Amino acid sequence: MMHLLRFDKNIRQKGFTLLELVVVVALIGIMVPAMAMIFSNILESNHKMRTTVAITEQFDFVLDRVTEDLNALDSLLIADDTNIKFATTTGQFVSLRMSDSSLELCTDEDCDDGDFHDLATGISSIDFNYFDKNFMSVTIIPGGLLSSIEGHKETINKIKYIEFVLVLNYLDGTTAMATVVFPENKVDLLE
Amino acid sequence: MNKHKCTAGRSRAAGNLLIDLVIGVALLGLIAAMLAGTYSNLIQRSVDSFETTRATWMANSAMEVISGYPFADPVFVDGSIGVDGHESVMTTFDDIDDFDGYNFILESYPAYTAAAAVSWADISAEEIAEGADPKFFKRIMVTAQNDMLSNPVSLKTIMSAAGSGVGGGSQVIAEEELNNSFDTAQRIPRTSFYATENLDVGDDSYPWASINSNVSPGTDDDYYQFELQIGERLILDIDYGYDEDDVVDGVDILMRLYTSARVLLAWRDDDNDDQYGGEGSIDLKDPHLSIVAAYNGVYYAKVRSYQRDMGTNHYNPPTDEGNYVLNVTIVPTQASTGLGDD
Repeated sequence: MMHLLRFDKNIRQKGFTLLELVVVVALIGIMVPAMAMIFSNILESNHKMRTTVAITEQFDFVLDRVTEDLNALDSLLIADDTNIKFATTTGQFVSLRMSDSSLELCTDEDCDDGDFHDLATGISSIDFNYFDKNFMSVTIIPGGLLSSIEGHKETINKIKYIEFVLVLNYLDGTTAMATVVFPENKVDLLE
Repeated sequence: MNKHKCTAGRSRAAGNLLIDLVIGVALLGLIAAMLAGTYSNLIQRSVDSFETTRATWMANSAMEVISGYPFADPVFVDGSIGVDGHESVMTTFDDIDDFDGYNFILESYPAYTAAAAVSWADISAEEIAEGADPKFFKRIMVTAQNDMLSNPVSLKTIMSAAGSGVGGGSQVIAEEELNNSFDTAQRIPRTSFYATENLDVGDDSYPWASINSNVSPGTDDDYYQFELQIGERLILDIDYGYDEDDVVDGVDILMRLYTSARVLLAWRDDDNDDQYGGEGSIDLKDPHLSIVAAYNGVYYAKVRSYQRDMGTNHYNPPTDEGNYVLNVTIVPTQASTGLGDD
């Protein structure tokens, strides 16, 4: 009985030594942070991928829409850095502007604040740039060019290309895409 | 004995725990690494698709810029692809094929380049129908590239010499200052001339172009240059210039026509007959004049206020300023080429 008890005690010592436990705990200690890192990377990548796909879709949608409208431009009525108004060849009016974090559209001839509705949300900023026939930048005065003002018509008539830059929030920063449109049916405003 | 066996079994089990764990960890690590690899591959694809979308929009933008230029060079009509004569930088380009070999850098697309290639359309590649004249079709290829993109984006289009706006300049033209001398005369390209309806033109069955302009200040001179072919009649008609009550904010015009050597060919102060003018002249003080081209080449028109022309004795400085419209008609001959309708 005594012998057996001693034997028993020896076996227990052989099974779980302190060293083994330490190694196991150390391994778990190494493994857990490593796995956590890998998984957080995966999660982060997953998030990045979803965001990328989502903003790619949004870019495509908005740029497509604005390009299509600008291509139908007949006469340019308001040309400004952050808003534009023009009449199309089909007799429609298109006004685009930035408000809060939304790109807003109005298709009435006279647009009050209530007439605008969101075309896209979650937008960081937009920018309209105007170019002449040599693709040189046409300077837009503060407050924009108005077709109803005599002195602005000459400058508006010079505009041949219109660039729309869309800046979206992307991950921790922003990213931009732009479309340059040559509205070939644009008419000159008579002085 | 029985107990011994039992404890021996436990001993094996206890010893395996460590190895099992090591293998387990190794396996998990392997799986995780594979998962991460697959994921990073997916990420790369989504980044690629994003960059591709962006490159496509950039190529599209470059394509739009090119398509805004006339189909053929108005001056160098030999039909060669590439830049002609002095066209060394983009601001001097005047037709589509000048962009052959040009690299676009757009401010809104940093780190991207879009290379343009222009050539005649290829019948054998079925780009245009068999039997069509390839000289009427140009192929534009724009290839957008960026370091992060595994495959560049190429867009291709075929431009035709026919079609609205593509073959020519715009028919209604705004005056471009400074055009106050022969050297800075505003060029009105032949491709701007079309025969469309215009009551202000004497006979709108002939190709015409219309220039919206003004004299401002009173000392302003406006020079324009036209390219004529021998035998063609040029008609210059001032409209909406002078009116007594000044309701159109016009100006009394005096107009001269010069040869390419800047020799005076003709001048007119007032309207003497109604043969060519059509409507649009509110007062007989709106002149028009007409000549037949005696040579192939450039002709200059010089437009200024009548008051300015009277010299400093009468009006110093001249005060009459305002808007006018210059309607220009070219009556073509059988041999005429290069007008917007061609």
